Amino acid sequence: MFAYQKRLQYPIDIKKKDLKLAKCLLSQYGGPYGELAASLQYLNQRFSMPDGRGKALLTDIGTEELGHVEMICTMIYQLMKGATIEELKAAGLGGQYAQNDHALYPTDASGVPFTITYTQTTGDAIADLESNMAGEQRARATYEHLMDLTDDPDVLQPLAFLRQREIIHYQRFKELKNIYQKELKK
Amino acid sequence: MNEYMNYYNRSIGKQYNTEEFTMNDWNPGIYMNQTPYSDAKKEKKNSILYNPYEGFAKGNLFKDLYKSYKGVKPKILEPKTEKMELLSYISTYAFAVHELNLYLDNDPFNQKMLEKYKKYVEELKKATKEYEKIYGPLTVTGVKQKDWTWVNDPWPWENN
Ligand SMILES: [Fe+2]
Repeated sequence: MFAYQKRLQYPIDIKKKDLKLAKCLLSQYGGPYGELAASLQYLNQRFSMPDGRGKALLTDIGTEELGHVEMICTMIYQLMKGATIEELKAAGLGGQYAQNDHALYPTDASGVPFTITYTQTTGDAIADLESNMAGEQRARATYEHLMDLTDDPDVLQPLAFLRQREIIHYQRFKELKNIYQKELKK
Repeated sequence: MNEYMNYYNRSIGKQYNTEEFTMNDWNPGIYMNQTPYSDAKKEKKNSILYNPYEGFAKGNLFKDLYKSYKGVKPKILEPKTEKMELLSYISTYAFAVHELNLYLDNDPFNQKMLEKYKKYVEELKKATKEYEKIYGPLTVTGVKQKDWTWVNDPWPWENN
């Protein structure tokens, strides 16, 4: 069961419209290394974790990633707020407007719709955790690319926050993998 | 004025400046008849915790794990309204709670970490109660007003 909390994990208040950046941020919404893929991957993998530690960790990180989906959506929403059709066209978001108006839709930065094939599950705890570690590194790298693309502090702070979260998640997955590897040897 | 005012000053205040946490009495215990996990002890990792304010600003409560990128400096929040002061306080403690939650998942018998966790949960619960009384619910069961305030704007994705 999930219960919603009416607040963001980290506050976002972007005042400056930036459609090109909004388009790039879509990568972390519906892109291959994005938050939505991460969340669904962990919440799906947790069913086959060998013990309570794994079930708990994947539930808790998967849930946090849902909160990150909300943060990314918030950034895109605020960056696009009040954009005119002309501005959307100029930023390469004409197609987005035709299909979705100003609404959010999970695609990558080039407009390719989200697909569940971005997620991996094998049922093997070690393979799954290794895959999650790699996923966290890819997400961290993507956040660094996004940080390269802006100097707006209202955007940089939440991006830096999200990037740190990937570092923590990587560490926790690695620890759990090491635990399982040692225990499975016996 | 509520008792959670001056978020920024509190964050740099003396009482929080020295709040560091070193895990020196590691006691992993036995989990599901498996070997206790002792990697962290060997690697001396995760031994020092930032205070909740600094950890929240950095997105990372664990000093040894923090790595900044391109010199982007984490900023302690400077909330502009009383409501935001209190919400920032809640988010700060919710973050600290979540960080310890993930840590404890891998090491459920770390009593010292669990104590810290419980302390932060108390702080979070107290502030949440206060917020919901004044400003409206954070979760749907937190409606304390005579009207159904769950539907009130703003929602989290809207600028406030
Ligand atoms: Fe993550």
